[in-house]
Amino acid sequence: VYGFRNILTSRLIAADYQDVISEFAVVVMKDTSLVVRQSLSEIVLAKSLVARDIIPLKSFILIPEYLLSTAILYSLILSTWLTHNSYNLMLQKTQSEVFGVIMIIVGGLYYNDVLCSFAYYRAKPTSSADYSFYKAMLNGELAIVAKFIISVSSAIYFLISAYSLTEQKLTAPEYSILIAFSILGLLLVCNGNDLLTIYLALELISLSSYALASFKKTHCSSESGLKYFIVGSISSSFFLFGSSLLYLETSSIYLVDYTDLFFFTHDYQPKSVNFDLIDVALSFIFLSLFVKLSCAPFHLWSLDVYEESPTSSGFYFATITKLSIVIVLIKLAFHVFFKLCFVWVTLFIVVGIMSALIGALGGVRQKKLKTLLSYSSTSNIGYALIALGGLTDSAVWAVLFHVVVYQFSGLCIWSLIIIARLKLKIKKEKYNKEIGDLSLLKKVNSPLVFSFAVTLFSLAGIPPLLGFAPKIYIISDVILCNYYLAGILLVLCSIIATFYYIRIIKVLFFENLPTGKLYYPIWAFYSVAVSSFVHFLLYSFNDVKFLSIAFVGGSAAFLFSTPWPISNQKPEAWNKYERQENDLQVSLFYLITLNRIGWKPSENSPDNWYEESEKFIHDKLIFLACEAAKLFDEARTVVPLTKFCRLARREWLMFAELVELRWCDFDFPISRVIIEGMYTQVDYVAAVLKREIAIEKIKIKRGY
Amino acid sequence: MTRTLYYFFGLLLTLCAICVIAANNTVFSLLSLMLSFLSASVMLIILGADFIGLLLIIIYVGAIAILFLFAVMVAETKLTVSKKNNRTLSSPIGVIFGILMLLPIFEPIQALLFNSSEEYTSFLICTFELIGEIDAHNYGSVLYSYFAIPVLIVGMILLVVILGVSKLTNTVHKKAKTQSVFKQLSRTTKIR
Repeated sequence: VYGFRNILTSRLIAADYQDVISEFAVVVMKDTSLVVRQSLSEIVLAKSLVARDIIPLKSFILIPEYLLSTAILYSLILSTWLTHNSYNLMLQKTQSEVFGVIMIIVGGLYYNDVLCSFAYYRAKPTSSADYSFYKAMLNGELAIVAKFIISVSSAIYFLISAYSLTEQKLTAPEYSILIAFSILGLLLVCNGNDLLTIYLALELISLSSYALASFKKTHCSSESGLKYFIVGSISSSFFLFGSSLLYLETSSIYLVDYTDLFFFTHDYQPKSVNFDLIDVALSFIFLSLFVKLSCAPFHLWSLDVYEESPTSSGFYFATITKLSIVIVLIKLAFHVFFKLCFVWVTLFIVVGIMSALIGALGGVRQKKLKTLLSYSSTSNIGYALIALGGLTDSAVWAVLFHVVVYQFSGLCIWSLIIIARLKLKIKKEKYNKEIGDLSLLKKVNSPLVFSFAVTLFSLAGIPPLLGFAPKIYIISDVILCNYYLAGILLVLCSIIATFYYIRIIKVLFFENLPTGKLYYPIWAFYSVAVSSFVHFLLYSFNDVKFLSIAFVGGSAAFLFSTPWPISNQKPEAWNKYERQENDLQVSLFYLITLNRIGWKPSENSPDNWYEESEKFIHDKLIFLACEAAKLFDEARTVVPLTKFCRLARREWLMFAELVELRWCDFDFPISRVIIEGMYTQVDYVAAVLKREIAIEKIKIKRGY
Repeated sequence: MTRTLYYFFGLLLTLCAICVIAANNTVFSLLSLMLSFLSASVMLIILGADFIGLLLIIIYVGAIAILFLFAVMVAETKLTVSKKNNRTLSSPIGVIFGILMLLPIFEPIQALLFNSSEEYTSFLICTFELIGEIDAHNYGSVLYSYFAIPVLIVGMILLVVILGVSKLTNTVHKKAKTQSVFKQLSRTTKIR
């Protein structure tokens, strides 16, 4: 109701701001990058909004996602073209491997591309500066680190599950494409900064997951897909309902605006915020996210979905989808609504304890391996929730550390499940293992048994392995913040969970049966991959410091937004100007926000205090812009720009060459098409950069 | 006057939504679904959002509901089955859960609805630059500039849905459950 009213009234408000420097211009100034920033001096002087025509350089933060979506579309077109006459053409293995390589490229872009990690260099001293696409995307370390981890683990997933697609008779080419779409959603969720984008990206994930769960179209698979669909759509509608209530109360969907409203409410309580309504809205949103994470009262769908859907789909749901949803939780709880912690702390603690308990108790009598793993994931998410509810400083990084370590252990155990194939005539039961099937595995393949044992010990949290580290951090955290009962319960739960992990090890090593199941041998590539996982779990305990430092850095920069060292390619004076300009902009922004709320400096202040102070700041901004333009004209060295452009182009070409080298002997047109797609992307980026350079040159000629 | 009309159509919407669940005949429930869409669009038009209201009529009533009706009439479900279903067992559980879910929401909503004397002040008024005179103009200008990324993601979602549906309904495997067209066509109609 009020939302539509706001849309209608905002037209009038836009009319009010026309002769003053409009807030939109300020937002544009924050949104644009170093390169376009110089042209903004002109914008401020001309009081026009021409800036919308210039593509801000920060929009290129999504280049890996562009690459991934282009690759998906190419692959879709190509596979349709190849299979339109013969639907059962076996290209699923190739396609999956190609997607693995694409995910490696995407991870490489996140790791060292200049354009994507551009946000590093531009990290601002305030929390309200680092967006692209008009506040829809928040750029930051947390997002980039998470996206890197997701892309690496999904590359591993694609490469390992490639062969099993043939075994499971998942011959349709849509399978890998749907997984890739889902990964695209996972990558977009990490950056999402408004409720609409987060909702849509979650939908992209879950819609393709429903199709993946029911892909086999057998009785069981259809049932699991239907269950997943019903539960998932109910949770999505909860999310929408909660966000509509939030919009009703604050009339904004951007998380940044919520931060501005609620994060800094030390001195005053906003008068007419209805906190009961926000309580309800937040509960709905968090509950929907809990359903997606399969926390305890809402975990019942996950048992059937993991067990009955095709094994490679279950592998995907169990390992890769968790991290980005946890990041949304962290973002909402710790960054945006931290001051309203009285609303959500109880929810987190209660749900966390319930899922740790039920996850531990439910697996005790479980005979099927995949259902047992789903119980294990429920209990592990419970640990993360309790740590978030503890509200300590180190909670964010402890949770991230825990989730990432669990993700890698999950990759390890699920790839073990997928590469140990039973010798059975019925193909669909090759992967549906019961624990008893593993009994004589040590006679068949003893190194495989060893890796099973190491992985299970790591999942149980036995000290010399990696799985111990996050658990001890979380439990000590919980005890430090005086949740003694929760700490004791966590220890008890982990003891109970250890029972069922160790029962599998008992079956593996000490079961004396006359007969057992036979297994196929394992290919060299998969054995190398799995042994590298096992070594990761074994030896990286020494390097926990390194991992933890990385996560402390990421989370601290995320929480407190400390200024990142700005690159020294720019002249020193320029930095000074920029910093001043930034401060002024921020103060103007807060001034406007304060005026909206109806705040006054003091009771005696005149009625037109706002206009006067705005005019003051406005004049200073113009002065500063002129000075900066003069400096720019004199120095003419601003321009890491050309160098920057060359660098970016070189990097792209390098990746393209890499791909070409890897796939040149590979007689399949997909690689060709992808490489050509990358070249066009490179040309596109170069064209846009050239255009920006041309604009800069015009600016220089005019004498600013 | 408009306020009374608004509440009237709100009441109608609620009644129709109950009818959708409660009606035994599938055709009746579909008709009441259409009526609920219509009343929702009238409510939107009363609030001043003409374009969205008309869109609701065109898309939901004009296309989707008619499609449903057509599908129901062609597919011809057995109406006697639903009468045998014992609803007395399952319905109280649903009602109890519904009430439990409504309880926390009820109080703040009530405060919102009945304290109309207080002037509603929003904190963050949206700063989108609206250029057009017509509503559709404004929606377009906002959608394609400020909400570019969500529009792109929606496109992706539609593609995923098309892919998934075409894969799941395409029966290449012989063991998959299919409808037998001959059996269905040879049935007699049972709408009373």
